[in-house]
Amino acid sequence: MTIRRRLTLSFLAILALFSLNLAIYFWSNLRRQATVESLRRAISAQVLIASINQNVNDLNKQVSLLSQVATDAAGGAAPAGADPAELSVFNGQIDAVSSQISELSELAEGAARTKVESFAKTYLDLGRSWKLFYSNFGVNQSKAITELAIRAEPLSGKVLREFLPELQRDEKSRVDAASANFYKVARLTDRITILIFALSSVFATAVAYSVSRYLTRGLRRLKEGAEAIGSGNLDQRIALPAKDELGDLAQGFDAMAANLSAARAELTLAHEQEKRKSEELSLTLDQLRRTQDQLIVQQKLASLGALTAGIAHEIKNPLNFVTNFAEILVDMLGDLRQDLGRAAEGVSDLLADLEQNAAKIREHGKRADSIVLGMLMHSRGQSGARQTINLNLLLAEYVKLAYHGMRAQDASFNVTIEEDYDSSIGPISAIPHDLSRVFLNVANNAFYAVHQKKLRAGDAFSPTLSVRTRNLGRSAEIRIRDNGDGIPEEIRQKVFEAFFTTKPAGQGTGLGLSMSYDIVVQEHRGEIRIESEPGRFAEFIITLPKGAGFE
Amino acid sequence: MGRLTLFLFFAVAALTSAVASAGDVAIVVRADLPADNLSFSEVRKLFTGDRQFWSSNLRVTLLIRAPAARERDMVLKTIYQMTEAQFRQYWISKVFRQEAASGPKIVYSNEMTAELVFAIPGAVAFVDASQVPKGLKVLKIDGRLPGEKGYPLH
Ligand SMILES: Nc1ncnc2c1ncn2[C@@H]1O[C@H](COP(=O)(O)OP(=O)(O)OP(=O)(O)O)[C@@H](O)[C@H]1O
Ligand SMILES: [Mg+2]
Repeated sequence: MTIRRRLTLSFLAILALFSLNLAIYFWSNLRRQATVESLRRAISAQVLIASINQNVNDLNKQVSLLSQVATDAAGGAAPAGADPAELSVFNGQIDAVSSQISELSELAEGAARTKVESFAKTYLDLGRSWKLFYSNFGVNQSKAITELAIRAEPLSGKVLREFLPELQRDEKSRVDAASANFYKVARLTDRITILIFALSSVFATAVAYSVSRYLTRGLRRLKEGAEAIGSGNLDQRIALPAKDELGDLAQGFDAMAANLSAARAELTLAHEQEKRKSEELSLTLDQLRRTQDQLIVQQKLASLGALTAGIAHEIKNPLNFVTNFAEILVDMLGDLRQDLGRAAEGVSDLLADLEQNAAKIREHGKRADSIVLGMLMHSRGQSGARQTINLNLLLAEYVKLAYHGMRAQDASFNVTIEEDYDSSIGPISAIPHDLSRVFLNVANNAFYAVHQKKLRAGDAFSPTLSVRTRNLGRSAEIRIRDNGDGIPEEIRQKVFEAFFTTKPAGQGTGLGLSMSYDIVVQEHRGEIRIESEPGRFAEFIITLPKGAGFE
Repeated sequence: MGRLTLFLFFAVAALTSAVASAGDVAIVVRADLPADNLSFSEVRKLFTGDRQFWSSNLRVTLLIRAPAARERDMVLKTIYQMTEAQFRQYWISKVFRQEAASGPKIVYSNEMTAELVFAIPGAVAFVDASQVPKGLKVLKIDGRLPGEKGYPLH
């Protein structure tokens, strides 16, 4: 039921009660009026009877005493007849009582009326008799007296001693009954009025209470629901079962909450998508940056390559001369030893030394030549020949070479070298010439780092280099670790840039790691990365794919 | 108060009572009245209006002669023991107090008395004992008729 209908019904119910009250009021009034009317009639009748009684009595007395009085007036003689005026007054008095009786008859009801009617008849006879008496009085005295004695007196006795007292009694009881009824009706109607009023009040209060209770309950639930929704709890539902405006409102609220909740879910989804997109974007940006960095490095390398090519070219000719002449010198020294024979032992030793030195010059010349060749190749972007190699052997060889190179500079320098080679790696496909340069440089850097630390820290520090390999199945891993000062986070990426160096001027070019990166990443499709804890260690980790057919 | 004074009868018709002593007053009623003898006190009650019925249905109608008649004076003296004025007063107040339905009827002659006694059942009147109309019954008082010794209305 809608609130409007509920309120209308309540209003109508109260209106009905109000009308009932009004009806009861009018009904009471009618009832009271009826009783008042009957009371009035009874009282009127009573008064009338009293008056009739009085009048009849008067007439009777008049008649009774008339002959005496008239005789006295006549001084004992027979009185003269009544004059017409007196007669008509007398008759008028009688008729007046007659009309009073007919009036009484109108007031009487039921059995009382028949009584009154028989009374009226008797009185009519009485009146007639009295009239007869009076008209004969003084004219025919005997007739008058006879009439009086025989007819009028019994009749008047009957009227005064039977009819009128009886009627008076009747009317008195009627008045009593009417007044009792009047009070009874008054009490009854009062009671009914009060009862109906009380019932109306109770009903109206009940209706008002139930309606207001219903409304406040519904509104409270709506308010609570709205507050819950307002405070962000979009799963809150009001779910008022009522099929009215409150129910509609609650449904509206619920629908709103549902819509809000859906909208929020959509928003969250959109937000997440946005976030993912932006993450992707930033990833892409990172990649782009790295690519850009690489491009820059490559550009630098390219220009360096051109430079290196020029330098290498210029150095190669004199190196050729050195190598060629050293070779010639070795040959000539051989010839000279044959020519000299085994004559002079001392010369022979000297020659042997010369021979050895020349051979060394030749060897190193060749090596320098191959380096220059490598530089040329590197600058031209060409790689050396790919071969099947034993990784562990190559690594060990160049670590040792680097160590000796270090010792050559400072003979007092000592490093503990821990080696742990995984023999399960097996052969891998690589360009050994280039890879050796990588190992040499990384090892050199490590020795340099520990040497620097040793110089600073002294005996308390024992330099250690750890070299390990590991078989990763499709690839092999090389770890070269030193316990030097490590590489601070902020320069960890820069070390792979060409010309980045922290060494004093004239000592380092800053090309070592740049070149190593190219060799590992670009030539061998491997990876090179750094793990370091500044002040404690630096570890270079190189992963190389074993190449097709070696896995 | 003086003793009874005898009044003369108003002479009319032939006398029936042969031995009526002159001066006595007879109480006459209709012959069919169911009473023959009354005590004097009963007579008084009858005439003072204290007794209004002979029997349940038969009313007493008093017939009294107008003033100046001898019978009236005699009755006033012997029965009522009142003067004329007292008598009048007595009846007026009796009627007004409604102790009596009607007062005594005044008659003006013996003939009228006779006529009315004949006409009205229950009528009672006084006549001179020597002039009692024919056909009327004379009541005894204390067992005595008028003219007999000890009759009170003498
Ligand atoms: N093991 C290491 N410990 C500490 N720092 C290192 C290590 N390896 C490389 N570095 C840092 O990386 C820089 C660049 O190394 P890179 O080999 O490219 O050039 P360089 O060694 O300085 O010069 P070059 O190799 O031409 O002699 C070094 O200057 C050094 O600061
Ligand atoms: Mg280096």
